[in-house]
Amino acid sequence: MREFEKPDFLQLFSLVAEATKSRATDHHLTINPAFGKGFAWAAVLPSGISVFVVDSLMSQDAGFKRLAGDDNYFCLQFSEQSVEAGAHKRFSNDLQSFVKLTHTINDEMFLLPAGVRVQTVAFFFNKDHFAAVIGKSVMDEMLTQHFPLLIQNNNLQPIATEYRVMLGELLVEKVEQPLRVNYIQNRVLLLLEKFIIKLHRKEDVSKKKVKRTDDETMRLMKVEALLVRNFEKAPPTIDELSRISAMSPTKLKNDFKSLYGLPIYEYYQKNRMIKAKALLMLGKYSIKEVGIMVGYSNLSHFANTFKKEYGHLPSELAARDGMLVYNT
Amino acid sequence: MLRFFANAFQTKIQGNTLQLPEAVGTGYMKLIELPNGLQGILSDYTVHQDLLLTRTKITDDFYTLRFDEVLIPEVQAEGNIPKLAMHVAPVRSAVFLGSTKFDWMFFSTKGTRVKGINILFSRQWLEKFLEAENVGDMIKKYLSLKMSAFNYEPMDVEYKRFLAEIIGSQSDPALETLVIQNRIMLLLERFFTRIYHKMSDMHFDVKLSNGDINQLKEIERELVKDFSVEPPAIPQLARMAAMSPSKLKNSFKEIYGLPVYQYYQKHRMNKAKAMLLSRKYSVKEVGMELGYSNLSNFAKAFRKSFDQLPSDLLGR
Repeated sequence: MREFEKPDFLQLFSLVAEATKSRATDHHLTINPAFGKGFAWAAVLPSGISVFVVDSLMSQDAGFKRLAGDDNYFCLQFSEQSVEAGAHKRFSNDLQSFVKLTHTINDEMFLLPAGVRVQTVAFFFNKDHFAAVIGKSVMDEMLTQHFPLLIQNNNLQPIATEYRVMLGELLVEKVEQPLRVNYIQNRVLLLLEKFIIKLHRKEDVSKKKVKRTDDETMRLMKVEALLVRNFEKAPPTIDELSRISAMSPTKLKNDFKSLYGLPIYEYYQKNRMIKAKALLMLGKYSIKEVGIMVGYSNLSHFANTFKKEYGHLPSELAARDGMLVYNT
Repeated sequence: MLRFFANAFQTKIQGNTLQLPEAVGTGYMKLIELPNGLQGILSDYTVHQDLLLTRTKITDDFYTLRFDEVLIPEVQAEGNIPKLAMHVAPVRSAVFLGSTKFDWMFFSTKGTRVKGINILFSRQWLEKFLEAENVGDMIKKYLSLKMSAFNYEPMDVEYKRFLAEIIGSQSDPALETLVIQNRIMLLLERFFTRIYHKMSDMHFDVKLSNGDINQLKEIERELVKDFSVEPPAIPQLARMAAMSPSKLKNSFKEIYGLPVYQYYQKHRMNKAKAMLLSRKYSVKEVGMELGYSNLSNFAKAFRKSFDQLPSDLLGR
């Protein structure tokens, strides 16, 4: 297993390039077909934060290890993993999406297992990166309470709706934006912001303790991942989900809401609209195409639902933004 | 800047916030200083009387990027609000990039609600912001050329959303800076991204040598320096720029987006409007100042630009 030491994702990136014999240009690579498919890129931002993005489906296992060091950095990792059909059933969970916080004082593994689609955005940061922007009280709360707790327990957090827009914008083969560096940095900082705010909110409500085992949380995360994986098809029914998660429908509904903040169907719908908006903003697809991609055969239903969520029609987005080409 | 407003409105600043006095309006202006070196003023107020803010140019090299969402009382028909540009900041919702090297005005009529943010940053800050970007040089070049022209674009849903997130931010005070700084950086990112797209749409060409560009900047300055006298003729300008007349005409248009004379005329009318709005001059004085000996010619030209007569503007 290849190893690296510094809290610098350019190092991990070079190792990935080396391990998969892929040619890297400008810290971007397409995985050599002999090893799998997908892409990876890394960047060091002006703030010193280094970020790594990978979307891969390997045909051979690849693993990397960061050795413990005393650099005092944190690593925040957003990852979605799904087992492709036909792959070995080596994994108990065939779907997983999580947010994980680690510290450079411990070893850490980055795995790209064969047969598993892995989509990850990860970045290193240290306390200086947010000492300037957050008040001392929250800072102390993070550094002395939340962070150590999360790290010790190896605690995985669910990927909530609010992260998805930024993740989607970063999980592309190449960020093609005129202000590329600022674009990446802003999205990374937003991810960090949402993460901190979520932790902070949790503090506020910690009095009413939620009783849920880690295993149940994992099962709910699986439900969530299934729900937002593909909008072209109708979502799984509550019954199906309750079977998959081995929970009663009532428990599933209640627990899902307490973990993700919205009832199951509303959550699904919100993510569907986020996806639709993101697709429209790309300017690559017509409204009709986007409607179909998020599972609407009836365009006026799509338009109305969109309006309900954002207060304006998809066509208004196109016209007002002036950046979109649409050809219905 | 906030202190200046406090003086003008004869109120005191409390902490970083200034409450407008009853006579002027209801609402606040709030200074924010961000750890990344940006300064901004957040405001949300409704004016109780017509209010004209002006800023006189200074030689320091700062930029201001304003996002103003303006809600005009309904009695005012849309048609009465002419399109504004350049030295006069729009009274409609808009995003406006200006330089402290130029005069600026902001006029809001009675009853108008203004929600906005004004971000102030130095040239050095911008240099640093664009440092790592491939298109940084191109944007800087564009700005140095366009600064005297207008840089403003409509305020759309996305901008409004960021603005609402900044102004309505209900978060814990300890997290406020984080949230505001991130949103402000998003606003800047979006604004400059769009400037860049606009640039590409216009086929903004950097084929011209730096020498040529400097010459054109000279010409532009010469053109808008003094409107009370006839502008130099094309052959004369061409001689000054050491270019052939046709090269001058083509490259001027390429860079400033308008033919030489139209550019001159547009700025002349903008100046007229700014002077009228200041209410310090009569229509006649403005006409004279801008080189119109025949006032009806002035009125016609003004109407052509703004769809209303100078007297209508004053009559409001």
